[in-house]
Amino acid sequence: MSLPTAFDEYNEALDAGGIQVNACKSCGYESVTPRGVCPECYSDEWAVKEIDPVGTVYTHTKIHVAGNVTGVEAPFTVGVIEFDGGARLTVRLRGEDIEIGDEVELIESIEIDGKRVPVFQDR
Amino acid sequence: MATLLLTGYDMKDANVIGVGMTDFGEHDRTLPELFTDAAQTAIKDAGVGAENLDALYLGNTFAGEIDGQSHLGPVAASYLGVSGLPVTRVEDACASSSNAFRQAVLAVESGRYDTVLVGGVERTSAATGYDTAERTTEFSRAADAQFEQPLGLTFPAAFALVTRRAMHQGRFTKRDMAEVAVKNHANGARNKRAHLQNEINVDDVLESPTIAEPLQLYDCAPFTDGATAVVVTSRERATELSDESVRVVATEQRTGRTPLHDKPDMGWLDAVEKAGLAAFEAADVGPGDVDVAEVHDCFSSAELLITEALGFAERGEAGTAVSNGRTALDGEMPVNPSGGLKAKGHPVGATGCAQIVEITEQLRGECDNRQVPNARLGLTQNLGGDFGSAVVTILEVDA
Repeated sequence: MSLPTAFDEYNEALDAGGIQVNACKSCGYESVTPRGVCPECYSDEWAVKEIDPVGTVYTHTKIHVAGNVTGVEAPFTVGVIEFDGGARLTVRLRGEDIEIGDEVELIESIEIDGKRVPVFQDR
Repeated sequence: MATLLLTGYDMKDANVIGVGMTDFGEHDRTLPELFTDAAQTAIKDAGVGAENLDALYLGNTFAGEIDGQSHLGPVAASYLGVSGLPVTRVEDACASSSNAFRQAVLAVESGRYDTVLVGGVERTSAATGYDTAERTTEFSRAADAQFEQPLGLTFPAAFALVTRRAMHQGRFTKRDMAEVAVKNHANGARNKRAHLQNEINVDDVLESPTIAEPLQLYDCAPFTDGATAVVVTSRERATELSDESVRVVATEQRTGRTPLHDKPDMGWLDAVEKAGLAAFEAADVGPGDVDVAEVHDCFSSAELLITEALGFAERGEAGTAVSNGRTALDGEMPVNPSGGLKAKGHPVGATGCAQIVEITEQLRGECDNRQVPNARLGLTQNLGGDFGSAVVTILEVDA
């Protein structure tokens, strides 16, 4: 047994412009984060699918005081995106005047510390 | 959750019989030096000799990264002079020493140990020699290494995401958050061990530099160094030592789903709510029975979120509870009389036991000009990581 998607696969899909989502075959719970068993129903049967990388802003913050792992100058914006089906993902947001509920799409992914960071922007 | 049946031991009650802490602030001293100070104070306060300790549980998060000292448990025990004891270091980010306290209580309740020393120690201030960006990065290590850290998600940013969601739900305002900071600074000004002892006003908060929107500098707890220690023993032993001590009526931990984006409602602290409900059930009391509480106000908004999750205020009413003075020192439900993390300071791994120290001293009536009158039942709530861990403990006067 292992996680339904390996991080390498998630990063490869992201690099190719897609988002991999894990859907519980038993209760339908969806998450981008892979889980051994479904945190809602404890089933270990997952379907892995690639979704249209478009979602709405669930929450966001503009970071003014940053740590050393950023790849950009502060200030920059980080937010949580919710996809159709309920899965969420924390992403970089580009653009000003971002509000909860805005529809955003994946425009690129950048490599930071060997990991791919998704960047979303207003559609 | 499965029920654990303990056999072979007589279940006991556990009491707190000694507390100690260093001043919170900036200390250019090693972790073992700081912890020894707090531990010797607690052991003396308990009236037991160090030779009567059965075990040590020590909370700490950054010793390896910031202080270059792994294997901290046996090292700290050796400097204190109690090498030989079984020692366990507990790392649960900001909830490290409340989690360690819970382990100590479980060990005493099980009958395995009689008298246990528990504490926490951490250095996070500029005295460590690391700059703000470096320390901000260290703090962010408690966030998810795949989905959060590469984004540059700082700890203020993690709390800002939750705060923004709760504000979107119409639960509180920036002004309510500022009122929390003002209240906790007012309390900290009455606490000689607090890191920040200056009073501030709402404008000071609202005009302070922005850290991660909507959080500003005065919404945030400072980077603090310090150590705390508590002696826990069986109720039988506590009764032999003194006519009056403090009984642990409940200590519960629950965890929340990480990374943050997978929380069912990012504006609601479900792990805090669940730990609180479990503790209230174990103690057979409700939020209305609590006389005084210390909660995890690492950011001003966190106190509001926790006040609601624990049921001290209805959902959406925490802002009113602070602005109308209900959670002030002289209010109906005083929250963070010590000044909280916001003013007393937040030496990560020492914070949980600092809350136990304050509530114990409140229940013993030792808090001078920040004493909550007739406090009989007190609660502590400690949060770890990006809402991944929550510990709630209920203490009462045992006389």
